[in-house]
Amino acid sequence: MSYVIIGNGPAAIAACEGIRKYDKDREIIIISKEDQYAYGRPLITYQIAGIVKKEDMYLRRPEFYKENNIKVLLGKEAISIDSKSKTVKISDGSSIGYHKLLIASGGTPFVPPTYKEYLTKENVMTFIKWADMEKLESIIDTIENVLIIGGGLIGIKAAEALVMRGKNVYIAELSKRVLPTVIDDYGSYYFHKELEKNNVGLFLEDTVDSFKIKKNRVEKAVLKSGNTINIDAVIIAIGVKPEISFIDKEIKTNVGIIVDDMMKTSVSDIYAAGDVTECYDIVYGSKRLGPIWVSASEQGRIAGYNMAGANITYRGRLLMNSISFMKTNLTSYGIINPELEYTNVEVFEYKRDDLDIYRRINVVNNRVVGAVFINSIYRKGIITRFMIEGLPFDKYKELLLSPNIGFINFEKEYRVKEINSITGYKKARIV
Amino acid sequence: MKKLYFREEWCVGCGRCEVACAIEHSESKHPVISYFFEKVRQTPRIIVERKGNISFANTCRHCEEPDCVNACISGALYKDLSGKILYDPAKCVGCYSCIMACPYGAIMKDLNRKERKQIVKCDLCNKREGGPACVEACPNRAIVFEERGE
Repeated sequence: MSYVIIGNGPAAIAACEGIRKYDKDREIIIISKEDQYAYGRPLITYQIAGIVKKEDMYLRRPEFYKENNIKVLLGKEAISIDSKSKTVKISDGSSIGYHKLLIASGGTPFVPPTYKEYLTKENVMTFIKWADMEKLESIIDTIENVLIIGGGLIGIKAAEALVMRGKNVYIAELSKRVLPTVIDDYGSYYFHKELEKNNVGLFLEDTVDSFKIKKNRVEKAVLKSGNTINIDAVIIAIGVKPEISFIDKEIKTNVGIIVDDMMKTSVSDIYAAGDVTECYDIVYGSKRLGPIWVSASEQGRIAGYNMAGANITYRGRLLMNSISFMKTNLTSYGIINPELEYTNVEVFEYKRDDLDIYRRINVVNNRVVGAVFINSIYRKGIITRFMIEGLPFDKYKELLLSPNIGFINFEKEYRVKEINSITGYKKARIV
Repeated sequence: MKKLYFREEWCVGCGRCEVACAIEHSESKHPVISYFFEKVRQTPRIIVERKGNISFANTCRHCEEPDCVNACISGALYKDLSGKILYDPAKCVGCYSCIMACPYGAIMKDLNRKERKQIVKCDLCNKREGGPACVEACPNRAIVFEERGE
């Protein structure tokens, strides 16, 4: 029997590589809902913007699958899992037995019931997958005004792509700021400014009340605030939720699938990885959702190792996001607004509005729990060490708030060991 | 696998490794031509840090489990068969996720490339005969390129 993987994103690819480190032989079967080999989903906005070509969107070379003895079932959907007979039922009617199963089915766009019926219109779409990209591409030369519902990561990147294509873009966001989950109030000001500069119409604390339809197309949106806008296309980018509609009821879930530190689910021989899971978060110190690319890769790799018989533990996810809108760049880590979680929060800031630079470090009990950097990305990955290793903040305060973060301010012993590391950093794993 | 190692007691902070790195990654590989006449002025992939009388170079560790590759959304960063972490600029969309994730701060924006957001990182002078240019340029053997560990 084979290793079976449901899903075909970064977690699935990393799992294949993880499995092959310990098991060179046993066949791997990937069940892919989409009719495409693994590609970078976030790249669809860059493709629309003209920054990347379709053929460059794939995550691995075509030979990858053959070299690693991986069979990919394209355009096939997992319908159900039977953990007693260890089989997965597939949309074409067949069943596949598994030796070990990985659920890496990722997320599915959240579309409120009131909007669902409009998705059949030719100018209304969600925006996370290849088919969405092709739907937008098919009408892009005929549209001028686009409304994006949701000012999160997907909404902002979609807006950027459309601005770069010369479109007139509106964003309706329920929160009082864009990117509510990855930026603080003050930081969002830079994005609001940049959006305005690029003539994006921003409707905050607002959403669509109703649409007006003409000839199978949405042509007007009436917002809750009372504004009416003429539109040629609508992108629904409210958020994603774990895709768990097909899973065995035996598998313990909350919103996502609960996994332990070896990426095992509550059912034996079934693992889960990526956006579909609720796994341990290093900073929060508890299990929770955290749909980010880097963690999906880490979780997939750890799951792969363990599926192939290794015994490797995941240290946990560290939330981090990097997003740009035109010239404004955000890098943020961990807990952005810790005052919602803790009472003894200290916030350290460096602001240079004249240069559009902003740095914010969130500290609780002398530990860095989160950070926001606007247009200040130089060597900022070094800060992940503080959140992962729990280095004391007071000792390195100057370093963390300075633009030129580096190793020279660390203790000699630490820096000599780290910059000469033989294996490199092992953030993801505990052996 | 052979990697770069840095001896801070031996480093005089001259920065010749940075210069050699930029030149090696230019088209002409000539110090003057590459600086003044090439379309893109190269950004060094190695960084010399200095404070008082302490100085040392540092760069990519070519991690066994690279956070930058895990973070890359486009497949532009990859580990080759020898274990080097390499970069394919044609696939890069400039999202800077790798810069965000690298715990060594070893990935830099390609500052001088104006038409497109890109990054630069150490490739251990992948195809260069005689090994990395920074090692050769160091007047004091403060950078060594050797096999350590297993």
